[in-house]
Amino acid sequence: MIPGGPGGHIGEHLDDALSAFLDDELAPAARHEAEAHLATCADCRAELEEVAAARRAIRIMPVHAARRPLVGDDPFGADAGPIGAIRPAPSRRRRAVWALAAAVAAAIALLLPRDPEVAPSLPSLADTHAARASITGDPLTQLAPIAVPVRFGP
Amino acid sequence: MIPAHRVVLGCVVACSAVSALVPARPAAALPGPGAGAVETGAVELIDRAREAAETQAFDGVVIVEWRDGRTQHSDQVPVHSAGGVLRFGDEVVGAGARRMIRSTDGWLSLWGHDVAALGPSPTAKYRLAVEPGPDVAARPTDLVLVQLVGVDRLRERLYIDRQSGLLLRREILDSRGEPYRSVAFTSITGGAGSPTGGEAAATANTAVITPTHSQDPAPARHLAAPYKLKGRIGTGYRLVGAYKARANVVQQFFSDGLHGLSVFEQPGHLGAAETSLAGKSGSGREVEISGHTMRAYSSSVGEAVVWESDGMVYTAVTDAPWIDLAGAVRDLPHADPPGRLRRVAQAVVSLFRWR
Amino acid sequence: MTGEVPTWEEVARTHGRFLYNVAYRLTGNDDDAFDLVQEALLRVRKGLETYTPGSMEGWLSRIVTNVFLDEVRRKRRRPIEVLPEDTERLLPSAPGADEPTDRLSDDVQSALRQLPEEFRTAVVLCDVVGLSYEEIADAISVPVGTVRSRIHRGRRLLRAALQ
Repeated sequence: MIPGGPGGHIGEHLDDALSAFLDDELAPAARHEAEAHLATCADCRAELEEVAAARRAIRIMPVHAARRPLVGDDPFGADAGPIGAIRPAPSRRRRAVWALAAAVAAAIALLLPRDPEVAPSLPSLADTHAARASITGDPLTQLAPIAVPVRFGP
Repeated sequence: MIPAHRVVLGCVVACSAVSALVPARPAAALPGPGAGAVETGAVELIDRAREAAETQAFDGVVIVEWRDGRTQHSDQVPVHSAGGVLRFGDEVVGAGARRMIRSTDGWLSLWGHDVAALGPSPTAKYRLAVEPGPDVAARPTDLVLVQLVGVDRLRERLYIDRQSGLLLRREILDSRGEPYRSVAFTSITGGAGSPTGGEAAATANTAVITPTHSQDPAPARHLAAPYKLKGRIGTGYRLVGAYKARANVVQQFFSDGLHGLSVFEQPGHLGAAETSLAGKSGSGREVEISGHTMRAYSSSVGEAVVWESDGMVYTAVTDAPWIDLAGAVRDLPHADPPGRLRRVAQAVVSLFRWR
Repeated sequence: MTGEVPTWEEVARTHGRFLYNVAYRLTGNDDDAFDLVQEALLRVRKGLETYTPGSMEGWLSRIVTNVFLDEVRRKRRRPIEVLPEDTERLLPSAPGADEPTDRLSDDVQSALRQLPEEFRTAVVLCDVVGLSYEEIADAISVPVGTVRSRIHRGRRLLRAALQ
């Protein structure tokens, strides 16, 4: 620490120590030094104010809630199965991990999309595309190709 | 149900070399800066051609040619337009904003409503130039040359009938300047300004056609997950509309001003039978895009690519050059197959079976 | 064991809101937050075998952060476009349940979303979740000094964005 250094403040500028200071993450000794520095350094005080304002702004944001249920009301349709109303578990602590795991296993089966097997019909999709393209594009050159046999090859 | 193939009047020529209908032109250097007026002229020509096809009365034969890999394909179809109804053989009809194809028991409507937005202007992505063109189907034309802004290679040629304004030939060129995809009139009578004018259509069957079935996509007002809208895709493609194309198929239609590109999304995973995708046509070819392999197909309509990502099957279709399609595909999701999650879950579930 | 299942739901109900809030502050939008939580829940499931009772929120925070960072790394290779503003466009639906709009909070969230991910993560873990520097260091596997520096720079950037 250099008392009375250039600029008339104690020590070097605090930089990210300012955030640590605000978040109470400085050890007592470092905290004292920071306070001493702040007492003499206008620049750091200004920066502290900036950073404190940002910190405040985030901390007062309300909790942003989901618009749809995360689990339970199963987006994939079927009956909820074992997931239903909350029922108190007899000895939560002891069986917490297993019960949790078992329930999540059931949830997984429901959460996973049941992927149907699909085979896009290329000729059909190509026709739909060409029909649409002929509305904003040139109708002659877009529709003529679907009037010929639409063979899809390599 | 769309039949797997449709009988078309006229000869079907398969696997033959393409005989040049028009003498090949050397790739012309496009005019430099100060070509603004020319560009506007080109865009106007293109817009007018679009309108002409739908409003004028004419008759002709159109040849559709494309190359997929090693094979040349070529098919012909007669075209007839009168009273605002555009007919291709007796297979495809366009009237106003409706598009129909013949199905086994009547007409299937592929599209049935007007759209508000035309899409971006082609000048954002393309440099256009107009010059006097050669004759196509015995008619003098204006030739619109298309290349990408900043790229010195000719990409496309559009031949527009000087008299009627109809687009008589459109060819997309490969890197050597050879057309690999084209639609062109081999003969035409009628059209505005011609001696026969509208009378060529006198024999027209202008009976009103009503569709018996509909496959009209509906504009999608809400797209909840897992579908996701993309505003822009590939090079210069902007989202023009999104539609619910089938029960659970969403179509996003993009345009770069000259070409349309559709991306179809459908929850599920691809079945094992590759050939079911393309019917009897063949199983496509494997291509690699952004480190992922997927299947690509070629047809008269354009190129298509099919892949799956994270429980969604994607099909991208366009008549634009392959590089455009690849660029668009690159911008779409390519996640691990859902099998991974399923395996994790199954391993986990199995841990608890014995309890 | 059919009777014990509810405990999972209790955990999900108790901490789901917390998880979602963190996910939302990290990702900046509801769709991604929802996906993030789902993926995190799957990892919770997997991590349960080695979970030792302690700070559930700390543990969950670490999981959701890791999922977020994995996703960030994945997306870096393939940038996603932001939706444009035009006409015939179809918005993702949010029928019914609209949150009361908190304009100030929207501004902060917007500014938060503009931060580079490493700063955003550090700031969210500190000021949204309330973890200590050491817990954050542990969650994202960097030294405490780095945590401190990221939090500080993140806050300064945020402040600048809000002005």
